[in-house]
Amino acid sequence: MPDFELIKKINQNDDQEAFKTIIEKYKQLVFGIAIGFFHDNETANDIVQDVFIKFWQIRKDFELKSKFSTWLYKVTTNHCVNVQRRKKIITAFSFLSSKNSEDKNLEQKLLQNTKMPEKDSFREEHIKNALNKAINSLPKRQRIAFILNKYQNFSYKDISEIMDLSVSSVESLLHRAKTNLQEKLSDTYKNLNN
Amino acid sequence: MDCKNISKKLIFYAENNLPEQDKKLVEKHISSCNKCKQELLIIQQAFGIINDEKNLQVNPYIYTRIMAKTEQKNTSKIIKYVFRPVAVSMIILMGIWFGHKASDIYFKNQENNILTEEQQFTEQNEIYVVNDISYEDYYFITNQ
Repeated sequence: MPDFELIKKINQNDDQEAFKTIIEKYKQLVFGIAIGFFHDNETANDIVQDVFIKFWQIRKDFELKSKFSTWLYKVTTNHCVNVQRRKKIITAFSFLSSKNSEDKNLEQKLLQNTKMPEKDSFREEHIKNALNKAINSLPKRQRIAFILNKYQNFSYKDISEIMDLSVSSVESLLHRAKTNLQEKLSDTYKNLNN
Repeated sequence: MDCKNISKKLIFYAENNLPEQDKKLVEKHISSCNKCKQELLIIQQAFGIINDEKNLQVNPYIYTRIMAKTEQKNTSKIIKYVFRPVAVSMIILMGIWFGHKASDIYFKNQENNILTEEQQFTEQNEIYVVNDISYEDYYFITNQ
């Protein structure tokens, strides 16, 4: 059944079966975007939950102006950015009392590594942390474009629709995002060799 | 080409997104430069991590979780908009009622006290009259 019919059913009759169909259809895509932002299963599941609850809450007033998927991705990216901002503020405040948890984890792994020299897993963990930090430190629009492109394999055209930008702007955003990531990952190489 | 220029192209090389000419230049460079080779390895590993993350699966019970949350939100809405105002109004009304009752009891007690004091006073006066001594006389007599 096409999306607009499902949405009509949800809109007019509060049809839970139609809602379930929509969730089953898009949950993995929403989850994929959230993973790109948070790299954490639990937070990504929370994001999926929040996004669909939001849709359910506004179902009566929901008007399908563009493709439903485009609306859903927009809402997801906006929600992810907001949650990330909130988390940054919380981390900034918790930093006053203790070191941030990511650094703590890395330190713990470092200690474990001195006990059991699993060099490869430590290296991978280090790269993973560096990658997450690098992605999170990208400017907002570059981050969104990169995640949609790399984690969801969206085309430039799809990204341009989701972000309300021209295709060429998306191209340039992605180019800058990758160059920035390259620079940040070069620092990882230096850190690993020091 | 020097390391700095090659380094900028490594990410595009890793995702196979370079023109053939640049690709050959990068390949030639990394065959002789260990630093750039290591950097490329890191980028490839980072892309591998992204691919692993892409394979993560959403919670299979997410629908149940969402429905439970929406119902919870509906219940909390009912609590917020119906039960809470009713409870608050009940508490206020009960407060007023108790206040009223308490003041009644207080004033009744006061009235009783006044009455008993008056009664005691008249009784005492009667005693003084009987003994033919006024209260003031009695006071001076006892304090002398």
